[in-house]
Amino acid sequence: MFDSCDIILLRNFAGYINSTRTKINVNKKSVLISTKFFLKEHWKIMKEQENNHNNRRSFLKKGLTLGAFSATAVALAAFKDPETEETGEKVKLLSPDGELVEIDRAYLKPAPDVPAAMQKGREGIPGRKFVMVIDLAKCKNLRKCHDACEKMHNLTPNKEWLKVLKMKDNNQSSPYWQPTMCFHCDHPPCVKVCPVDATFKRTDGLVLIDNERCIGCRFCMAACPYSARTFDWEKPEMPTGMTHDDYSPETSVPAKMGTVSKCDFCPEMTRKGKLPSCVTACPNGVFYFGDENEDAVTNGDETVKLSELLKERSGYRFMEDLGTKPRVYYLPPVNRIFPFKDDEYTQQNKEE
Amino acid sequence: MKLIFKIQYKQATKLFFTLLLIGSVFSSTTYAQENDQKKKVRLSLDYNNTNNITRQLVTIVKTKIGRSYRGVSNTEVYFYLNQKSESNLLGVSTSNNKGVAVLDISKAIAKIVDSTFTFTFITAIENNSDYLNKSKKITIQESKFELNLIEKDSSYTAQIMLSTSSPTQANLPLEDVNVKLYVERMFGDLLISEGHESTNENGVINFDFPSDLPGKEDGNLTIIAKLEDDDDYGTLVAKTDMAWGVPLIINEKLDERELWTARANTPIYLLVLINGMILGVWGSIAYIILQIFKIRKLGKLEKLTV
Amino acid sequence: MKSQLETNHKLANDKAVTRAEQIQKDLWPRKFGLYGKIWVGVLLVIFITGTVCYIDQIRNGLHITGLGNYATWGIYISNFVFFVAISLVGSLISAILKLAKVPWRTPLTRISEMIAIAAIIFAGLVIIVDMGRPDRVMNIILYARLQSPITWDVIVISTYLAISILFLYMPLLPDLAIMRDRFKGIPAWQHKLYKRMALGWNNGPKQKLILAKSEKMLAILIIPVAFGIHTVTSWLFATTVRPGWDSSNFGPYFVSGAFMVGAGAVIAAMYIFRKFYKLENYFTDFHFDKMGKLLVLLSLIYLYFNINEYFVPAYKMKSIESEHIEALFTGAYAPMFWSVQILGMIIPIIVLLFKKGRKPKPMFIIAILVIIGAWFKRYLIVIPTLAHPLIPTDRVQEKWLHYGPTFAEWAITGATLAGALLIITALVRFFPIIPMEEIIEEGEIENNGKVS
Repeated sequence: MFDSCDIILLRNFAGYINSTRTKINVNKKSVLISTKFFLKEHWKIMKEQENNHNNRRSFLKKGLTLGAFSATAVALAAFKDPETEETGEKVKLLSPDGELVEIDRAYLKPAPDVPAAMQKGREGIPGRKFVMVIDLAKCKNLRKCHDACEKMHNLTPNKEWLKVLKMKDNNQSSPYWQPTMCFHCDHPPCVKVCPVDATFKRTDGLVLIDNERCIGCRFCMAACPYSARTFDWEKPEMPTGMTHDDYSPETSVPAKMGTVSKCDFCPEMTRKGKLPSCVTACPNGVFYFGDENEDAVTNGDETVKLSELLKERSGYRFMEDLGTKPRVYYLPPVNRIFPFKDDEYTQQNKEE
Repeated sequence: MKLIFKIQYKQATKLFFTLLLIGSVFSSTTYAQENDQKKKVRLSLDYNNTNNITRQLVTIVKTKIGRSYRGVSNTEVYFYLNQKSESNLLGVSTSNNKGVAVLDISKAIAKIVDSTFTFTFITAIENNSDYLNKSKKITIQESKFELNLIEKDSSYTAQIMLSTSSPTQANLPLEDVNVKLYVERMFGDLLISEGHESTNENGVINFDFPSDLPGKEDGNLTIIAKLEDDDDYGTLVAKTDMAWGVPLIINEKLDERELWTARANTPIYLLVLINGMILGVWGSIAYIILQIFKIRKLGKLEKLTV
Repeated sequence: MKSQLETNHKLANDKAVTRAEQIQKDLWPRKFGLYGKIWVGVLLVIFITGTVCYIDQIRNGLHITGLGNYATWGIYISNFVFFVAISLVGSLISAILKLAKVPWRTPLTRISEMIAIAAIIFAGLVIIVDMGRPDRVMNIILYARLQSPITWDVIVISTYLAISILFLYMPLLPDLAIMRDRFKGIPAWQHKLYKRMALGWNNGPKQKLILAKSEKMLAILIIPVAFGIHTVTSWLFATTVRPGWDSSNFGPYFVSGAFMVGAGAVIAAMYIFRKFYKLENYFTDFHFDKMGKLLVLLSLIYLYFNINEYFVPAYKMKSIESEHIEALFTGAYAPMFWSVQILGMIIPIIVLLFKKGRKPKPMFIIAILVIIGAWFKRYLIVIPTLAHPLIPTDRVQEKWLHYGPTFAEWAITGATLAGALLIITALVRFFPIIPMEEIIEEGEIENNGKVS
């Protein structure tokens, strides 16, 4: 019968009476004035309560939805970027439990706009043309690059984007270790055959895959001569704290079942001016990465001119005669720092 | 009987508690011994001055893991001026995952400069649960590091001038100091000079700047001169932007019509051929379907039986 | 005098009417007997097993197959190529033989069109089965990239399906009219079906003219499209650089193989229907003899392309190709390769060169050999190449080093084959296997003068 407004009103009334108890004059005029005053106050209070009530109702509606995904957004945002700087500005949100919480504005991220993320993923970082140079003379098969790639992109041992292969050019020459990944070719055979434009070449040289569009026909896998692509044959493990909406062609995580994926030259990192994880992970400085437009590549320790490096060290591309124009150059394994040594796997296969 | 039991009970509890106390003392000493197993760290301290605007103190904290030294992350590093005391604390910084802790003292520097133009900085790790206390002290001579870019006719020269101030003389040129010239690239700085040049007796080096370096679209390059890791002067960096690079011309192959481009850029011959064939064949199919309708119409008109 | 002429005329007419009646009685579709029901039952069981496995595949992904990151295409794709190959039979019999004015092709046209339609429908379905994300199948139309051979394949296959349906339906019109008018003792819905589909066909001259013109147009149209589907399907492989696929010979090689297996399929169907529907007067020994000669011709052409396809790279033995060729000739795939070539191609040629070999029963066995050989030939085209990638295989699970189809894969493949046979069975249940009206008309020509 009494709703909350009325109860508040009654309480206020009681309080008012108490506070004014000493002030009530027997004087008729003052009683009239005080009654009028009381009525006005009553009206004001009632309006205020009503507004609050309506506000609370509409706030509840908006806030519940906002709060629900803001709570998850907070969780996601907090997980994804531990370096979020708090602005100091607090925002009040209604959590799904009905509690009013105060969160710093920096943690509020709008729900991911999936089509926009997909579109942005197709645009290259302007003015860049990424290129990689791999120095085979320095590779010792430490596989730190492989492990870093696996960690960064949430891969499994069967889903290798970066393989370190034992290569032997002919019977007379000695074997060497060759890290191989997607070469992001300038004339990519995989992009040519994709029926739905799911894999595409960007202006910054990268060949990426849009796993929201891929239909899983695997024609690109058949067309790639370097066996660079992998397929998610079963439901992949979802990394903690992520949802499918967090996917973008630049992160390639989380993986989607029934689609193709491959090395992407870590565009998430390069957009922030950081090197791909394989480059930084290698302790021997085997990987050089940089911008062909700037004619400079770096392996984390030294930055060198790309054209000079390729000229002096006679850089070549793998299976050049296939005409794919890869963006990864190799420096021949001459003047090797480490002599070749088989590891467990290649030792086993040698004996077969 | 009851009384004896009571007394015995009291004695037992007393004994129990003394034993407990002794035991805790011992365990605390062993715990203290464990504390003595804290690891040693190596500290390096450098004073960075960029363009006389940004000044930083950079400490790298390393500890021995196995055979090599690795950076220590997430450790608090204290920076002091002149001596290690509360009042002289310049600031605290936490090391990143490579063990590098940076303190920005750009604003503080104005207050601490004195007539000797030298600074003594101390970095220290103290009261750390994992590592032993360690400190490092450096004394830096405040110096002036200038980079001038001179363009004459069509030759570019980068001129470095290095001087310092002493109580007796201002602008004392610094001789025989190794300075390197770099150009900023996306992921690092590219060394342009040979690397071994030093200042002459006037504190000056003149570098010939190459004219064939690719720059941004407007030809801009960020030219950097660095005096690296000097014991007396710290690390001095002078950066300027100059349009001495070859302007970047973007010739976008992806806008052309090729087999490997997006569907918007299908080669014309494919468009014409395929659409032409589809139109031709499906047009004929449509015509034949029309004939079916014609047959139906004829069937309705003439209702004869076989 | 007049009455004698009249009597003769009446007798001739009576004879003609009786003959037409006889043909209709022989050819109109019948209910299934015991064998028919067993046939349908077995097919349904296989189909349902496969469908259940496919539902598992949709939920749990393609890892229920034996496929892996190296063997990315397996028997789904080889089955697809097989279906596309068989579907060319429609164009062969209905169109090529028609334009060549080969008279004995008439009884074979309908069954070849039915086989063609069933095969091409399931070719499309098999491709969807092979897709990793069948829920996104609309992307092929919404975001179609004209530079991709898959887009071309989708276009030609749907075009071929449309033309084949027309090529089945239009010559069926006169027969539908006969069934609408003459067929008694059938349920009302079936009668209504015939009536609706017959479009008021009344054998009038105008209608006949339109039909003849349309059939001619369809025949001319279907031939380039038929060549197109199998050439474009071969380009799914030939546009890559892998050993065994990097061949400029693939288009003609596939098309000639398709005609051969199509002919084999028609022969097998002829024999089965002749036996179970007692159609010896229609699928005569003469027809088998002629089809046998046709099959020999097609097999010889296929043999020619096979020699080109295998001998020339073997002569060169480029390093990329050598491992693959050795695997086929003397290695892991050698038993399958030589059985397919000998049993599926050489022996049919030899047997069918003899008149005795072109009798119905031996021809049926040969036709079955040809079909099974063709299925495994497509297996040999798709899988060995993927077993020899251009870079060394490294550090993958044992399962992925040797491709072997799992039970689920076989079940799903079997379901597609059963499904195609079910479509043919369903068509045969309701529509005459042999074009009635055309046979009647040809007979009248025969009666009027020419003796066959």
